[in-house]
Amino acid sequence: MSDRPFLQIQQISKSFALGKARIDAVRAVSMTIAEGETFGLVGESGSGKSTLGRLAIGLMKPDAGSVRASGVDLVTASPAKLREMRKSLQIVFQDAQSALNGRVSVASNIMEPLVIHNQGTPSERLRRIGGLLERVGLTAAHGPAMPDELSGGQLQRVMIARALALGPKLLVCDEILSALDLSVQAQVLSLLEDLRLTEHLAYLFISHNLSAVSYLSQVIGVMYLGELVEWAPTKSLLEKPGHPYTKALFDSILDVPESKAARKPLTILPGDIPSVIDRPKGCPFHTRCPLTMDICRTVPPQLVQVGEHHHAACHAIHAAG
Amino acid sequence: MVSRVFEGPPVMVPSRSAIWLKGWRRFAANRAALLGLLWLILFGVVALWGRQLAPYSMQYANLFAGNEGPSLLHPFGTDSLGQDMLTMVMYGLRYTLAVGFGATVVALVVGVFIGLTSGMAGRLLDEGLMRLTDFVYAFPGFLFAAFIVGAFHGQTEVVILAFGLTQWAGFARLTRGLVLTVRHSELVESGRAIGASRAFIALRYILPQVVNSIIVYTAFVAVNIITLQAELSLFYGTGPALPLISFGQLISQGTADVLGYWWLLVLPVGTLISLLVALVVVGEGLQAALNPKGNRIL
Repeated sequence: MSDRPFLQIQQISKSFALGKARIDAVRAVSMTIAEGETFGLVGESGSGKSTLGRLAIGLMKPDAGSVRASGVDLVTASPAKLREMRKSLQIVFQDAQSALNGRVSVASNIMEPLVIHNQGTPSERLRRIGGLLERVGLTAAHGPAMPDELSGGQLQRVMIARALALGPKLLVCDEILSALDLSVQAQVLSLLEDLRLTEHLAYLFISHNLSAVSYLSQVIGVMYLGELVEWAPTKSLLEKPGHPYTKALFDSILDVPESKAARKPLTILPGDIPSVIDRPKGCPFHTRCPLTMDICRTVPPQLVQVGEHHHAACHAIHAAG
Repeated sequence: MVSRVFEGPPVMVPSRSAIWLKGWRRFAANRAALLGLLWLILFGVVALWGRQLAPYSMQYANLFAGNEGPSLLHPFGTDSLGQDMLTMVMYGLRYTLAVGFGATVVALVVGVFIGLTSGMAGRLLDEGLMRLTDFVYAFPGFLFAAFIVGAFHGQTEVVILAFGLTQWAGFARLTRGLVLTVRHSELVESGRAIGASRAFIALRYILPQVVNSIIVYTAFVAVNIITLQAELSLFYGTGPALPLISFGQLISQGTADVLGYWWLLVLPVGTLISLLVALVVVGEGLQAALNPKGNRIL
């Protein structure tokens, strides 16, 4: 694990207007992603993962806090500087079919970033597109195809090639597996890991898929109602999950051993994720938490270090530790 | 660290004409659409050069050969005055297509302009334009057009404006909706992610999406306007003064004589219906041609 931080996020918040109400999509989140490291981000739908991903690469501006990538503050950067930073900060979307331009060929889609940033001569671009296609496991023969002629997995590879075109340092992967078949998911995962090792890419890997996240990530962060409630190195988080929400999340993984006797009972969290409009006071998780104490209902817990590189925001742990 | 440049065998990029050819194949794969297009071209030719092509003149009348059924001399028969019905239908086509085409273009230009402005503009202007659109949508445009057509004796330019200025609201709503959808789509977001400028996104992503859907919608608006205009003559008796003649007038004369002289009603009505059907199937074909993903716009 490299310790040189590439992306540093400090106390960022973002809220959106929903009718007359304002909803907090992301609340006071701080995190760091090191060069060439995968930061896995898990949490239920609506927990603010995707918003955090967009804030991380400057596609959205936070209401408060700072985002620094290789020392450049994305919040205060000029539009020209921000456009320059686009080269090192890229994103791959869940639905490649709708994120790609269906009216032009695969090759033209990959060429767009090269044209926008004025990279290479026209003939160099064609060779680079060929190289990119091969790097993501396709061939130059896929270039002239139209996006609708490719399968979901192939499209996701095209999306990755397009994101790689400018030589990024950080790739945000926003639920990129959820539209793919299981066997294709495995192929894309191993491609990502291969790219990390050979191209020294860092990822912010956003997913529901806990096994994929644990496979790929060096560090995992858990989000709940827009807050980062726990983050730790993968090993530490899997062995000693601190926050009761993290425990519940990992207990909900369907694990089916051979014998019926060996199966552990499924623990299911009571209730649903609370409404972001009517967010609970105190700890956001106290409405569903098995360990709720009086303090949880009034005082929001702070994210504090509970082990080596292991951070959690929970009164119960703080009281015990 | 300098990021690596990927090198590989050069790819082929399909030319623009190859992409058009693919679209044309998708259109032509629909036999009905192809047939409809040929039919529309035939009608277009008749409308443009009808005076030269018509077998008789509008002044021709042979009172001794009135109410004759279809024959080699008069394929569509003759009316009670002995006028050639094929000639009348050809003149009717000329007027109907002029009004239908002209009014659709007026509605298209006004509606798309208002819809684009509304979709791109800030909240206040958007609200104002949409309330205006709602008003035009709810306004009894048919009655307005009837009044105008009656007052100006169906003068072609006036009728075009009357229909165009009452039928643009659908275009405005469609365009605004499309712009808003595309503006917040993953496509535009992925464009922003690679650092594309506003102009690049507007020209490469938003415009093609909007234009394609509008082309398809246009065929259906044309159907609507042609039908309205025929109904206008049929129910209110309003229409152009001779030598111009509208389909509605032909049909309304035909309804009086339908017993005994079927061709006076059936053949003009059949021609009008075939025009409308051709427009609809061409619209369907355009959906297939312009939407490689196969999802229908309308």
